[in-house]
This record gives sequence, C-alpha cells and structure tokens, in this order.
Amino acid sequence: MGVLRSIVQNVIGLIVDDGLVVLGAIVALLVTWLLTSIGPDIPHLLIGVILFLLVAVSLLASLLRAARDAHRHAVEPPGDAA
Amino acid sequence: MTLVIAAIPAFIGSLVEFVEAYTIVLAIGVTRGWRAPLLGAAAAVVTLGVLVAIFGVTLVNVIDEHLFELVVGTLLLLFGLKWIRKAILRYAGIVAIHDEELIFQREVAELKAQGQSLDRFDWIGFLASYKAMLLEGLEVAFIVIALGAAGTDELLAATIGASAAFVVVGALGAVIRAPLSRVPENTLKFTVGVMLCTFGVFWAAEGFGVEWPGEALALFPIFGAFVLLSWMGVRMLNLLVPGGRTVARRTV
Repeated sequence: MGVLRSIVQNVIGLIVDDGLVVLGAIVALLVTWLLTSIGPDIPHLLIGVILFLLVAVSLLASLLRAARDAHRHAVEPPGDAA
Repeated sequence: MTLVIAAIPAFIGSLVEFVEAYTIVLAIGVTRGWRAPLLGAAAAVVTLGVLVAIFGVTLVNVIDEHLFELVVGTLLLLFGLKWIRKAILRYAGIVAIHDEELIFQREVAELKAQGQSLDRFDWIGFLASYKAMLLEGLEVAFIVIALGAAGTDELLAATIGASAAFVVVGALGAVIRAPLSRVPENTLKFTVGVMLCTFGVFWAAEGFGVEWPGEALALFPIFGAFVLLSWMGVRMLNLLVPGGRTVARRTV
C-alpha cells in the first residue's frame, strides 16, 4: 500500500513541483488556444513567441516566490530554523 | 533528426535518474547482500518496460496527431519546467545540490538499523530496491513515452537512449562500486529540462495549429531562448538572495 501511494505521489510529482508554474503554463496554453481560435490572421510566429513569453513569466514568477521564501528563511534567527 | 530529438534527451534524462536509483540499490547491496536488490531492480525494469509498451504504443497508434501534439507538448512543458526550476534554484544555491554520497550514507544507516534475516529471502531488500528503481524509473518511462510518442521510430530511439543510460550506469557501478557522485547531475537535469521545454512549446503550439517558420529548425531558437531565460533566472536569484548557499546548507 505504501509503495502504491508513493507511486501515485511520484506520478503527480512528475509534473507538479510548484503549482504556480503549472497554473502559469496552463494559462499560457489557453491564451495560445484563444489566439489561434479567434485570430486566424495573427502570424503564427507571434503566437509562438507569446506562448514562450507567458511560460517565461510563469517560471520567473515562481522563482521570485522561491527567492522570497528563501530570503525569509535566511533572515530568521538560527533558533527558529526548521 | 529522430535520433537527436528522441534518443539524446532520453539518454541524458535517464542517466540522471538511473544514477539516483543506483545509489539506493548499491546501499542495499552493500548492507544486505546483492541477490534481493538485483532481483528487485530487475523486476522494476520489467514493470517499466510494460508501462512504456502499453502507454507508448497506445499514444503512437490511437491518438489523433494534433491531440497527441497538444497532450505530449503540454506534459513535456510541465515536466521540463519542473526540472529547469529546480536546476536554477540549485545553481543559485537556494536548493541543495543532490549529494549521492550523503544519500548513500543515509540509506546504509537506515538499512543497517532494520537488521537482516540470513535464512530467508530478503524481501526488505527486494522491495526497497524495486521501489527505488520504479520511482526513479517512472520519470524515465515518462520521458521515453513523451519523446517517443511521435511514432514507432521515435519510440524505438527513445527506448534505446534510455536503455543505453541503464547500461552505462550499470557498467560504471559494477566497476566503481561506489556512489557516482562525480556525475554532474544538476547540469544534466538542466540540459534535459531545457530540451523538454523546447519540445513542449514547439509541440503544444503545433497542437493548436501553429506552423513554425522553418518547421523543426525553430527548435534551435526556442532552445536558446530557454537557456537565456534560465541564465536570467539564476542572475535574478543571485541578486535577490545573495546568501542562497547558506540557505541550501540549512535546508539539506
């Protein structure tokens, strides 16, 4: 049972490390879908660039949050560290 | 091109995962004997082979081309972003670098504490080895299926890439008989992460009907853009958290 639970957790963990990145990537894909659906005249290269930029923003946002958390841990008094 | 797209990322990604699995199998073998952990690892490899055969062949033969590109592209993108993010955090020192030697010592200590039954088959060693190989191998299976789902040739190339990594790690391990701590895991994971994100963006966009200028040649600028983005990410973290390395030491 423990092995099975580990496998399920690992399968989810394959793609979900930080929910913010996953959410950002999904939003980026939805925007791409919208652009290809409602704007057939939009150059395809531009749509690809927009997809990349939205993914880039979600990654940087996740890194910023990690930096903020790390900074918070770094300024804690040594006795408060987990 | 098929070989490049499927086999190389599969080889590099699998190499990293097999090194991690090898460390645990080695710890079990050294402390409890080799028969059970080797059988456990072999059973896990068979399980992974079945998973790849079932899901890989299904993706190749059943799913519509555009839907396939979208599903696989999305999964590759999410998986690749996870690896890039972690690699960037490790480069910036916010997350500790994977230390195979330390993991080996911890595993050995835990296994010694569990004791050993000498007269019966060592099920603890078998299951521990099976679980380690299966869990690390799931990422390998995922990479092989995703990269190989474009067709039979791609699936074969990705499988060969992963199998080659298994053989290389197994051969090195048999010779060295110590944790493979000199393998630059973070750099390899970063490289594969960038590759997976590149394919992910490329295929997901194609899944929505986007036709890239230059077709497959568009992979190169996308790859370069992800490398640049990652460099920016590391620089940004170094500026924001100059004491990142201290944080990493405290979070080991």
